[in-house]
Amino acid sequence: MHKLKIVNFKNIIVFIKILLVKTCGKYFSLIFLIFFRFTDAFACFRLPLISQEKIFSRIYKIIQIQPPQILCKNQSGSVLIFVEQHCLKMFTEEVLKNVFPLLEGEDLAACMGVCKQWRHIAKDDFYWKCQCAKKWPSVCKRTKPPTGTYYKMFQTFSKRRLNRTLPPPRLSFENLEFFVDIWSEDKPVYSGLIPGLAMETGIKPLPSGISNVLRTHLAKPDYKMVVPAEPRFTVPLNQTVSVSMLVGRNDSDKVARIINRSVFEYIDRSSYRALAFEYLDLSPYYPFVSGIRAWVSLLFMDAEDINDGVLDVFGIQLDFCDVAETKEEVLWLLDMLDWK
Amino acid sequence: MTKEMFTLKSSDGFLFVVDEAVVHQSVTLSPMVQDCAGREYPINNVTGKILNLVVEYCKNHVVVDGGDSSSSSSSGDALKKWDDEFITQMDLSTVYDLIMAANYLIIKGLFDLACQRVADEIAACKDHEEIRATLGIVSDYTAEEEAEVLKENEWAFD
Repeated sequence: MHKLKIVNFKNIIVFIKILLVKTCGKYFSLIFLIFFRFTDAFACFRLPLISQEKIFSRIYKIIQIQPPQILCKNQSGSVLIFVEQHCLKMFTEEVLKNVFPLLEGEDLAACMGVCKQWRHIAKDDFYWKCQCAKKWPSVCKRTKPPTGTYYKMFQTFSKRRLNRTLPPPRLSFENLEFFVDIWSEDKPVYSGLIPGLAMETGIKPLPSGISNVLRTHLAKPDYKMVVPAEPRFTVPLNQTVSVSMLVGRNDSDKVARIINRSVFEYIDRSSYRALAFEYLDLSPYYPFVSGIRAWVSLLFMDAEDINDGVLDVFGIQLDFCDVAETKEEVLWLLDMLDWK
Repeated sequence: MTKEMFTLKSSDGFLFVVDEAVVHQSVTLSPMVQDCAGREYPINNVTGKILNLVVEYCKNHVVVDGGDSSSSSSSGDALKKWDDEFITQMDLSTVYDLIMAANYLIIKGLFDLACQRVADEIAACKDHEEIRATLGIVSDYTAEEEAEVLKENEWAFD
């Protein structure tokens, strides 16, 4: 009589255990086949029938299923066993249906990632109605969920998300053109019709003679709107220099004001900029938003002329540094202007 | 007052002798009070190991539930403590069997207790992978399906 080695026996058990678990009891004909093969394997070792039954009952103890009903014997005399589906240790629907209502919403969501059966059960809106009822009992006063499904309601409102992403802007710089006028004591010294795209391009190449501070500032990759002053102009320091700026959009033939008339009151010699600002007039559709300024900076050269009281302006910068740092934010802000 | 004793037989042949108060806790077994006094009543779905635990639970709950509705809160607390210890010392495989047994025998208290234990285990896990590992469940998702499900539920994790 051939004796089966213990090592091989254990491997086969592990293999069968994995197979049984993976099949989830659904395809019991497959299990039937596996056992058929298994019994054939024994048959080829020519174990007597009694030993085979003993081995099988040991297998069942190891993988912990109820003793199966022995149904029939195959031609070689080995024993074929059908394993009933519900004997396998899988979490049945009944159990899950009673456990799920006891969980919190986040745990229920985690359960959906466990396996397909769990997801199928957890997706039932009934459990989400329970979750919504725990969080907002007033929801039960309605017969139907207020947002399509209770699942959606819980998903959307159970957590407060503090960082929200900006939706894509409705405007683009291709649609815009800027009307820039700079005055020195009410005489125009610069008038430019600047297409939106030019605002983004910046000043290339940077002219020589500008300070390192400005060079560094202009070379940084962060978003800014700068245009070269063409033609270049100079402004005397003892005069009142002011700016007005309008912007037009070609998608709806409308114009909005950025700056009505603002004086360059601040001259920052350390950064070689003269600054002017004005509070934006936003559209009446945004009634509670205020305190946002448009800033215009005249960028001037680093030269001895400063001592003569003249600024040699080579570039003009527009920014909304109070609130808007990125291109999308700037475009949304411009969209909010009072377009008429 | 003679106490009627009943014999319950588990699927693997173990016998448990219990009194009427214990039997009454099971909605399934209650009707047998009239029929089976003295005879063995087979419970085919429940093994001896689990039936033992069920009987232990029922015996403990007889003390408080046995008609005395004005029992003091301290004995109620003691019972709750006993319940907690009873259910937490078991491994999950046994808890699962207990749920199935309590479901078949319709013993509400035990069923709720065991389900709550499973719920607590799930709640203690930090993500779906830990739930799988704790409960010994094999995933049948492909990598893409799993990514899709996680994306759907990313609102829950932050």
